[in-house]
Amino acid sequence: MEGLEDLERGVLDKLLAGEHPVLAALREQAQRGRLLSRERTGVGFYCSFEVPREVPIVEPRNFEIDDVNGELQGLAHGAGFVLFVRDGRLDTLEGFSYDEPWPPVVNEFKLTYQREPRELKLPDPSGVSPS
Amino acid sequence: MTALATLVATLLRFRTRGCVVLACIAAMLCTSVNASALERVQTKTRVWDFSSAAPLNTWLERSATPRTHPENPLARSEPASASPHAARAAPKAIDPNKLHHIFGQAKHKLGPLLEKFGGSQEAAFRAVESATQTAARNQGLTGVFKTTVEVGGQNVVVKGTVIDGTARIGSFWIP
Repeated sequence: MEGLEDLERGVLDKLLAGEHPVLAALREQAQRGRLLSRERTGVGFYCSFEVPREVPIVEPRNFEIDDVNGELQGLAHGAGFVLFVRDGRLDTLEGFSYDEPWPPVVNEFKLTYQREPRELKLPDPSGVSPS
Repeated sequence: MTALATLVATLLRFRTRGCVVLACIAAMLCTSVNASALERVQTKTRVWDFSSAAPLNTWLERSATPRTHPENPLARSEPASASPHAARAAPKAIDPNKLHHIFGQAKHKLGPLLEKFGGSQEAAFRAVESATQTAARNQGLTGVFKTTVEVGGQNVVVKGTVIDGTARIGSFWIP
């Protein structure tokens, strides 16, 4: 996806990694979608996405993926991330800190899953639907 | 009033000029002592900002008023001497950026939760924070966690981390 910063791209890739058909479909959306807007809140960020109508949507249509954590330069307690899927499409990526300001620049980071190996529980594995 | 009566009685009993002078000095000293005692009570009342200073009132006058802070009815059960500690244990101020980050995002769907708290983001945040702290303690959560708490009849998903035994909120939303 064009326009993402290194951290945002790294988080999105990590969140969407895996063989699950829903994750595969979301990766295709990420490849064909674009960054619509970015908001920095002082304690995190929001990236909003736009996915073309012709790209297949996923079922279930509304859920979140949030099992990626980050160790970031400038954050003593790390960061968390949430990917919101709405109406079957990638919608928003959220990043946030815990009890400390978000650093103005993030050059170094390390991303991990909440549990290793990953234990991602998607609401329903019914897969992909035509858009 | 007691001092005045003493002065009059003294004047009636001793009618010489020297005694009048001595009686006046005694009356002034008596008034001064009473004023000092009252001033101490008032000073303490102002310092602690309680509606009365009960420990002194209990011997100055029997009808002690309740030790109630005008803005904190919960302080009713606290002894006046504990007020400095209570002030030190006051909850940490919420970062306005955190409030904006969490409540300013429509995807979080926190409207129904806010309604339950009269639109107060701070009150809603405090409620979620308190429920999360309880959940963290009951579930023995450590490090980064995700949990769901019920606040105001809403199931709220909370992402946080435990720092020095205290649950710190990263973000929360209603799924």
